[in-house]
Amino acid sequence: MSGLLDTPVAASRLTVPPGDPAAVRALVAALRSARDEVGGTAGALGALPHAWQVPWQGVAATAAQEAVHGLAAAVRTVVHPLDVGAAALDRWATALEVARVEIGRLQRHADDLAADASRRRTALVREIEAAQAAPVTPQPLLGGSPGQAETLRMRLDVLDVEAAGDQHDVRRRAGAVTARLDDLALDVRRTLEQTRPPVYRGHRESFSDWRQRAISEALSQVPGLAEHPETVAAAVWAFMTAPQLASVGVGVFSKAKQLYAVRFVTGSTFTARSMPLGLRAAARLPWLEPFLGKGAIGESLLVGNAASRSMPLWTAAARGWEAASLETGLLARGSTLVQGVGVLRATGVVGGVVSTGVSLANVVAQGNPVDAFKENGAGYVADLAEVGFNASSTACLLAPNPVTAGAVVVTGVVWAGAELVDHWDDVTQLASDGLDTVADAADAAVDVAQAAGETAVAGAKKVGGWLNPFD
Amino acid sequence: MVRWESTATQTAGAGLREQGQVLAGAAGVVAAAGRTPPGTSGHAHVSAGLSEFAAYWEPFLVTTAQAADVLAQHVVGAGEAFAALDASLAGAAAPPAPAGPPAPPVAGTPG
Repeated sequence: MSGLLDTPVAASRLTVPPGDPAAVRALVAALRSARDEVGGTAGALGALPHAWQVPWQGVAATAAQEAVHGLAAAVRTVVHPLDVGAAALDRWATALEVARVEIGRLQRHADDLAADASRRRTALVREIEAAQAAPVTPQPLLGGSPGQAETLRMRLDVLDVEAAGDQHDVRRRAGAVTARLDDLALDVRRTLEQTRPPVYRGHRESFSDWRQRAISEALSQVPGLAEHPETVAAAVWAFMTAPQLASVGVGVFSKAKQLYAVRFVTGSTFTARSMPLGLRAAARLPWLEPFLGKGAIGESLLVGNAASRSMPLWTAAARGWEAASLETGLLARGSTLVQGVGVLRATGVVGGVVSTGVSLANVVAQGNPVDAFKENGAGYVADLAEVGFNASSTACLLAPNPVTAGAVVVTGVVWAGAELVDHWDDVTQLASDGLDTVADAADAAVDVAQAAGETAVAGAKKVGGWLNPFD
Repeated sequence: MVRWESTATQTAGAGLREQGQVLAGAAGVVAAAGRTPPGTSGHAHVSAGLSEFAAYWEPFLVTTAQAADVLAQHVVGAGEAFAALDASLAGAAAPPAPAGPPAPPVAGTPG
C-alpha cells in the first residue's frame, strides 16, 4: 500500500522556446552593418557626379549625372527597411532571451514545488502507515470524528490537489510567456512585411485591411499628412467603415423594430401606434423613410391577431412567411418592400449576394479560421459577422421572418461591436490627433497654393517680359 | 559646352563599380537573413517574415548593384569613345608624313 501512496509528485516539463538569441543578434548586427554600408553607398553615389562636374561636361556628363542621382535615390530607399528589420529582430532577440530565461526559471520553480510536495507527501504516507499500524481505538457510533489514519488520508488528498494546482499554475504562467512570445513573433513578421510596398498583401491580412493600408500609405505622401500616418490610417478606416456601420445601424434598427412588433404588439395588425413613442418619432423622420419604409415587412410579419402576444415565435414566423409570400406582389411592383429593407437591400438580392460573396472572400483570404482568429482577434470576428450580416440581410429580403430578422440584428450588433473593438485605437487616435492633422494638412495646402501662385506670377512676368518689347 | 578629361570617366567608373560591389554584399547579407530557419530564429513567424523581407529586398539590392555596374560600363565606355575621338581628331589635325625619294630598285626584280 505504501508503494501505491508514496508516489513522488511529478514536476511539469516546460518547453523552452527554441531559437538562438545570439544568432539572431548576429543577424541584427549584419543587417545594421548592411544598412550603414547601403547608406554610405547612397551618399557616395549622390556625391559622385560632383567629382566630375568640372573635368567632364556636356550632354553625356549630364545624362550620367541624372542616372547616378536616380540610382542613389533608389539605394536610399533600402536604408529604412534595413533599419526597421534590424530593430524588429533586435526586439525579438531580447524577448526570446527573456522568455527562455523565464521558462527556465519556471521549470526550476516547478521542480522545487514538486520536490517539496513529494517530501511532504512521503512524510504523510509514513504517518498514515504508522497510524494504520497503531491499535484501533473504538469510535463512537454517532457524532464521532474520523480516525487519525482517515484524517491523514484527507490531508494527503488535499496535498495532492494543492500540488497539482501549483503545477497547473506554473504551466499557466509558462503558457502566458509563450503566448506573449507568439504575439511578438507575429508583430515582428508584420513589421518586416510592411517594409515592402503596400501592393503586397500581408500575412492573413483581409482584403479590406489591405485596401485601407494601401490608401493610407498613398495619402501619407501628401504634404501635411506625412507627419500623421496613424491618424491618416484611422481616418481612412473611419471614412470607409462609417457608411457600412450606418447601414448596419439602419438594418439592425429596422429589424429590431419588426421583431419588437412581432413579439409584443397586440391587435389585428401592426400599427405605428404600437411602437414606443421614441421609435415612432424616429420612424416618422422624413430622412429615415427611404431606409425604414413604412413598416411593410413588419405588417407582413404581423398578420397575427390578438393572440400574437402569446404566440410562439415559430408560429409567428410561419405566419410571417405566409405573409411575405403575399408581399412578393409588392416586390414585383418594386415599391414599398424595397424601400423598407435599408441601404443594402435597396441594391436588391443581387447586391446582397455580391456583398455576401465579397465579405466571404475577405474571410477566406485569411486562411485557417482558428489561426486567423488567434492572429486577427476582433478583426476576424468582425469579418465573420459581416458575412453573417450580409447573408442574413439577403435571406431576410428573400424570406422575411423573425429568424432571418433576428439573425440580421445579432450579426449586425456583433459586427459593429467587433469593428469598434478592433479599431478602438483608430477611434482614440482620431479623437486626439484628428484636429491637428486637419490643421497641418490645411497649412500644407496653403503652402502648396502659395508656391503654385508664386510660380504662376513668375511665369506671367516672364510671358509679360516676352510680350513687352521695352522690357 | 563639351569638356572631357580621361581621368574623370575612369574615376567615375571605378567609383560606380565599387558601390555596386557594396550593394551586392548587402544583398548577400539580406539573402542570408532570409534563409534563417525557425530553429535558429526561434519562431516560424519570424523566419517567414525574414524570408518575405529577403524575397523583396534582396532582388532590389541586386538590381541596384547591377545598375551601378551597367552605369560604370557606360561611363567608362563614354570615356573610351571620347579618347578614340580625341585620337582621331589628333590624327586628322597632324601634318601628313613628308614624301621621301623613291626606293632604289632591288636587283634581280623586274621594273
